[in-house]
Formats: sequence, C-alpha cells, structure tokens
Amino acid sequence: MTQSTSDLQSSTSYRSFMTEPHRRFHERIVADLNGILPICNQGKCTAADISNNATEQQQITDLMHKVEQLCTHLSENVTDVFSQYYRERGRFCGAAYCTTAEIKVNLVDRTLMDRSTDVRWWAKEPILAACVGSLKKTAKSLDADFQEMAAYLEGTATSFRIPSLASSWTSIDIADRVEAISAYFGRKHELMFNPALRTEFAKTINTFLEFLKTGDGQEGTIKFATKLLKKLDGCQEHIENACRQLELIRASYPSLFDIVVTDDRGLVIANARPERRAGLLSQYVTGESWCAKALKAGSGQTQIQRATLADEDHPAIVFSTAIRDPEDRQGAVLGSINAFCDFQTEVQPLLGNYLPVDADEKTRDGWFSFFTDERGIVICSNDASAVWPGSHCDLARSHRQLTNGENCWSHSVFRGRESFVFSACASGQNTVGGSGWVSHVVAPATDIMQTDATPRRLQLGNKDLMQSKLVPEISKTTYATLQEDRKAIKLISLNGILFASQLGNRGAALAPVFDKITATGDSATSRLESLLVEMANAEISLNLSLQETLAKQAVDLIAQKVAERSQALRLWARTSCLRECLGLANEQPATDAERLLRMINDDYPVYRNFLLLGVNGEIKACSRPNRFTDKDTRCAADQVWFMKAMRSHRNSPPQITEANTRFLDDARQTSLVFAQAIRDEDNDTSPLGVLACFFDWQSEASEILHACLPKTASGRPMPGSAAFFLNREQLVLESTNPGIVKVNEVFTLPDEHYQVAENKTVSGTFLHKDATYIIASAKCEPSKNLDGMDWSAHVIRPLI
Amino acid sequence: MANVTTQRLVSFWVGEQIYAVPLLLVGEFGPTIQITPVDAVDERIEGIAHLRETSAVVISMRKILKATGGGQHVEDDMIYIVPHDQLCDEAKKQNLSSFIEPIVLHVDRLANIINVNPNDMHPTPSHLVEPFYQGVFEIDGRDLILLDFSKLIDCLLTQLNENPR
Repeated sequence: MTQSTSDLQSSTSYRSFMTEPHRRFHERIVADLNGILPICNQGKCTAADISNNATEQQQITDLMHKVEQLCTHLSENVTDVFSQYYRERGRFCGAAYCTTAEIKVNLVDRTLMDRSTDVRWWAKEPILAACVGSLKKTAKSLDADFQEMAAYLEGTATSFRIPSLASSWTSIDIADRVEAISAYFGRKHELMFNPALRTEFAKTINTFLEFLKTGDGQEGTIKFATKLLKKLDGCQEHIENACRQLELIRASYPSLFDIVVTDDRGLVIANARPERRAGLLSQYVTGESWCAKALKAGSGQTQIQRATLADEDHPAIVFSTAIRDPEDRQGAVLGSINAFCDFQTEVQPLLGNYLPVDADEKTRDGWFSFFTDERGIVICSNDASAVWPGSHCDLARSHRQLTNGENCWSHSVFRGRESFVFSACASGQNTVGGSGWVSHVVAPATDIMQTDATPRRLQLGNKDLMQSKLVPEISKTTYATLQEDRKAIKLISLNGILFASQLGNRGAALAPVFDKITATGDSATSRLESLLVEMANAEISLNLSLQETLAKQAVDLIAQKVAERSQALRLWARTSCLRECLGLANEQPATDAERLLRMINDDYPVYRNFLLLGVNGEIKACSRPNRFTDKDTRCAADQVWFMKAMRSHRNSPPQITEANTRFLDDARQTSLVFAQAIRDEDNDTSPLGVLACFFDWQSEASEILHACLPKTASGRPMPGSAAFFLNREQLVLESTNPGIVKVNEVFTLPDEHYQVAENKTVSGTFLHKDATYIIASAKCEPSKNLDGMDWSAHVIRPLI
Repeated sequence: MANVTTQRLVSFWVGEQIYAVPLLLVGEFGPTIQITPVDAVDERIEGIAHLRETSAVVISMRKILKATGGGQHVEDDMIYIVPHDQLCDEAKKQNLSSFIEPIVLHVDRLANIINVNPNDMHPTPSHLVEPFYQGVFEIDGRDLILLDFSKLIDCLLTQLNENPR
C-alpha cells in the first residue's frame, strides 16, 4: 500500500483541533511555568543582596539561569506535546480509516468480480442460448413465411367457392378476413414477443381456418397457417423458458433491478421482471452502450458500466457479456445478457458499517462513506440523501485520482463541516481490469480529535503504559524528557538550598526562592506527566476501539462472503442436467453432470470440489474426481451436512456446515461444506439428491485477515501483529502470522474472548509466550443459514 | 535559615523506605554519574566516580540498606558527602563527622530538604538492627530513618576488614 501524504497533513496546525479541557490545561501550565521566571529574577537580586563575593553571586545566578532555561524548555515542550498528540491522532486515524475505506472498496471490487463470473455463468445457460438461437432462426424465416402465407391467402380469396348452405359468408367477408390476417404480417416482432397479439392473431386465423375447412381445396392454406401458428407458439415457449430462468436467477440475487437478454442485433428477447416485460420485449437497445459492449465482449469477458434506468431511483451497474453457442464457446455471438444491479441498495449497508452510531443506532452526523469513479462521480453512498449517487463528490483531486492500492487522508471541509477525509483506491487485484473506484470515509474533525470522555484503561503502571507500543514514540520521548527536566529542576533546587544553607544566615533569603522553584516545577511537571498518561490512555482506548472494529470487519466479511457464495449453489441445484443425472441408474455414466460440475468449478476456483449425491449419499458425479481414490464406494449418508440438506425444505437456503471431516478433501482437518437439496421442479416431493461443495475459504479468509491487520502510519502491517479465525473448538482456521498463531492448532484465549457473544466485540490484554498483546475479538451477527459456522475473529498486536 | 533548635536533613528514598542524612555533610547533589567499577571489593561499593578533579568512592545504598522493591521509582540520584576536613564550621559545631575521603551515596531518589527538631527524634525500634540507624522522625505520616554517616562508614570498613575479598 502506498501512502500518499498531502501537504495538508504536514502543514495543518493541529492546535486548532485542541479540545477545551486541553486548551485550559495548556494555558494554566504555561502560566505556571512563566510564573517561575520572576522568582528566578528575585533569586538573582537576592544573590546581590546577600553576598559581595562575585563567585558566590555567579553560582546563584547560574542556578537561576538553569531554572529559566528548563522552564522555557518545558513550556515549549508542553506546546509540542499537544501538537504532536493531535498530529499522531490524525495519523493514527488516517491509517485506521484508510484501512476501513480500503477494505470496503476491495470487498466491493471482489463482489464485482464475483458478479462478473456469475453473469458469464448465466450466459452459458443452454435455455438462453436456445431461446436466442431459435428466435433468430424464427425471425429470419418469418418474413418468407408471411409472404408464402400471403400468397396462400390471396389464392384463397380469389378461388375459394363458398358453400352456400354452410355459411352466410360472402366473398367480401373473405376478402376482409384475408386483409385482416395480412395486416398482422407487418408486425412480425410483436407477433413473436407480444402474447396478447399472438393470441388475437391465432384467434383470427383459427376462425378463418374453421371456415375454410367447410369448403374444398384449402388444405394447403390450412396446413401452412397451422405450421405458422405452431412456429409462433414455439417462440412463445422459448421466451417463457428464458424469462423463467432469468426470474429464477433474480430470485437468488434480489439486488438486481432486471436482467435483459438480447439477440445479436440488440433486440430484447427476454427479461427477469414480468412487470417491465411488455414495454421491453421486442425493443431494440443496440444504441445503449452496455448492449453494444456486451455484443463485442470476448469469450470470458464481462463489461461493467453504469446506466440510468428511467423507472428506478438509483443508477444501475450493468454487468454485460455475450451469449455464445454452448457447444462452441469461442464461436459467433448469438446475443447478450445484461444484469442491472441496484448497487446503491446492495452496497449501502456495507458503506454504513463501521461508522460510529448515535443513541438511536443511526450513523453519527457528519460521517459519510461512499465510492467515486475516476471522474469523482459518486457511485453509491451510505446516505444517498446527502451524497447522491451520480453527483460530483466535491473532494480534492488528490482524493479523487488515486491509483490502484494508493490511499491518502487530509483535513478538508465537506458538506460545510470541518472534516477529515480518508480515501483508498481498490487494490485492483480482484476484478477483471479493476474497477478503479475510490472509497472515501469522511469524519467530522471534532469526532476524530475528541478524546474519549471515559477512555478504557488497561491494568498498567504509568511506566509500562509509557513503554507500550501503542503509545506514539514522540509521547514516549516527551515523557522521558519530562522526567529528565523534572529531575534537573529538583537537583537545581536542592543544590540551591544546599548552597543557601552553606552561606549560613546570609543564605536564609534564598531558601524560599528555591522552595518556590521546587514546588512550581514539581507541580508543573507532575501535571504534564498526568497529561501524557491521560493521552496515552486515550491512545490505548482508541487502539482498542479500532482493533475491535478490525476484528468485527474480519468476521463480518467472511460471513458475508460465505453467505454470498452459498447462494450460487441454490441456482446450480436447479439445473435440469443434475436432476436428470440423479434419475440415472448407478451403472450409467453421468457424463453431462460431471461436465457441468467441472465447468462450474473451472469458473469458480474458490470451490475445491463439487459433488452430486444420490438419496443414499452415494457420489453420482463430481467436478474433481481425481481427488478421490474411492469415489465409487464413498458414501455421505452419515455426514451432518448431507442429512441437513436432505431434511431441508423446498425454499431453504443452502446448508452451511463446518465439518471436521475429511470426506470431501484429504488436505484439511476442517471443511466448510455448502449443501443444497435437489428437487423435482414440479412436484413438492422429497429431495432427489444433494449438491454439495467444499468452499475454499482459505484464500478468501487470508485476504480478509491481511486487510484487517492493524497498520502503521505508512500503511504497513504492525510488526508482531496477527489476525486469525477460530472455530468453536478454538481451532485456528486461518492466521496471518503462523509464527505466533499456527493454523490447525488449538489457540487458547481468555474466556471473554473465546466466548464473545454474537454480533459483539471485546478487547483487552492477553499474555502469550511471555509477551503481552492487546487483543480484540468479534463474532458476526447470527444468520439462519450460517448456524453451522460459529467462527470468531481475533486481532492481536504486541503491547510492550 | 534554620534556627539553632532545628536541624536540616536531606531525605531520600531507597526501596520502599525514606532515609535522611544531615544536610551539612553534603557538598552537592548530582544526577547519575559515570562509575568506574572496582574489582574484588565488597558489592556495596559500586566503584569510583570522578567529580571535579576528585575521586570519590560510590556506595550503593540499596545494598547497604538491603532494599528490595521500589524499583518503579528509581532515579539513581547521587549525594556527594564532603571529606571530613572540608566540613563547614556549622557541621563541626553540631559534632557531625564524615570520612577522610569524599564519598558518593548512590540512592534511588532524592526526596527533599527538611527541617526537623532533634527533640522529635524517636529511638530506633528494636527490629531495626543496623548500628548506623540514629533515630526515627515522623514526617507526613511516614517514618524517616536518620542515618549516622560515620557509623555507616565504620560498619562498612569493619566488615570489609573482617571479610576481605
């Protein structure tokens, strides 16, 4: 991570941020120290009064000079202490909140990547390719069909002899009917996509055909018209299938405004939202850049861009890719699929996370979190009424134009309020091409600089406290200098009193001077010491609080990631090919299912293996068969995750289970298994089998934990720190620092950390291998389908 | 300046206890100074310090007084005791005596200079067995032990002679 330090950071006068108690303290202590100076002058005068000896006078004057110098030094020190304190606080918050901004944007970056993969996967759905292919073929042939039909009708109109007894129709009626039917031929797309018009057309043509049947010689017309109607019905069926599939996808991804499928000319042929369908199908959207780009997208490419939808409040993020023939992935483009995501609604909770809240649990006034693009346009924000998506962010260029992995913070005025702005650009490692988005966290200056009214304290003596690694070096140096100054003043005073006593009666006048110097010096230095201790406690309190946030972020992120990823299983479990495979006899090869699972696994390498299991737990197919030596005999019937999935209801989400089994993979002691029952789509019967996969959380967890490590002001992980996940048996699942916390070993923590309540955080000190650490622990909010995942996140860093 | 009925003492901390010596024995108070260790002598003698062209023996008061604890507040202050021939008249008038050579007392922390009335001095309690404890004053609710400097040196010398290294 690069630290981009703006000029503001170095030039800001931190004295302007001083709190009122600090300001009063500063004035008082400076007044006290200044009060010693007249006493020194008095001492110098007394020296002249009590002795005519120049050496004696010089000795006294030298002592007074030393005191004056020390007081001036102390006075300057006091001013510096405050400046340094506020500067350090700014730096510390800079590192902390830039981390928060970075975590958010990287998480969203990862979501973009995942969603891009999802969209590419949806594009591979055979139903969509079949629909696009069929409609294209139909549209192409319909013109000729209509021409031929028109010729048939013309023949009918001229040659059909009306049986006189069978009908009251006249030749004029026939001509009218022919004309009415022919009028539909110019509305090809409407006939293909508008079910009402198609029904009306079918009714008109069927009535006419019924009449024609009463006469002779019209078999050709009747046959052709029936074929035409059947062709149009075929269109209807394909469109319905495609729309149903899109609706199914949208049911698993509720943040999608809509999903639109077009053919290769930009004609909309299916969408996911029924209420928008009538106005959307058969429309050409080639002019929309998202469609144009999707049609040009290469195989394995997803285009991401923003679009404004007329009937939606927020701009959408559109994920677009081309649809190709399922049998020829590198072949010609058949059409496009475009998923319109309500990113503002989806990301708003994430943006609101980890911002301080008031008594009503609402984000505190003046705190904002939002993303901007390279032009500084807001993409989404935690408070859309104040920072509107689509508007300009009004931030300095140094905040808007960061490059991948860069961050910066500065003092600025935002929405009319003195604030600190912390910005971080996505690392760019996660997305296809990288979003390049910048995440900003804005905090009121008063909130950043305000010291906690009741800071949390650790059980530490002042000396240990001042040796703590959490206290800025500058405070430690000041504390040490202060001790030296206090000692120096004391020694000067004691030597002065000694000198006065050696002068006998003559020295009596000097004693009160040195007494006063001792008293004032002691009082000033003691108060300064208390101030430094108070500041150190405030630093520790801030550290504890931010470390708790880091732990909470870590556990929330992994839970969110697991929940998100498990949702995809729901969709895959509805694939017809898997259902068909479960109906096969054991000895029949499950080639199609294996190919499908392998294809999913290739696209989603975060899963280690996919298994399709029969009702008795036997493996029907898997994506990585070479990982098993005994695939044919292995049985999951006694596995908890298998039983849970088999017992689940039709609409249950995938079951997530942390299984301490080696069933799925031999490499790890623990596995996170997602399992979803596969059912017959039409009958609410018991499950046909189970689709299960082992989620490779190691790479996800490792990335999350590294992002949540405490950072130095330069953005590097704090030396000696570690972040790790534990399960309910205190087994380490993932760790950033195996030197301190080893994976797959039990790591014993104090009870209050190990038993931290759900959605709560706790922090304190912790002794491990003779080293003292501060530790923050957190557990995520309870979630129904995550009940099998009882993880806690912990962040430690050395204290002394 | 103290009148004839009072005595000025310099108090200092060693471990958890506060002690004092007469101020008139003191030539100077100083911060931590460089000490040259001397081998093969009693551990109570830390070494030799050079002070303004004079060498002085540095005595560890923690070792002499067998202090434990109180390490939190150690500032390593030094009290320079003038040689006997350089004592001021007032000191001689009060029958104070020091050693023939300058001595530096290495104490944990200097406390203060205080005036006491010799009549307020209590005898040393029986459990305090050191022969160089002269008496006890009660200052601000704490017991302050007045040390007899010459006896302290005698004691050190006697033991050195009895147990030469």
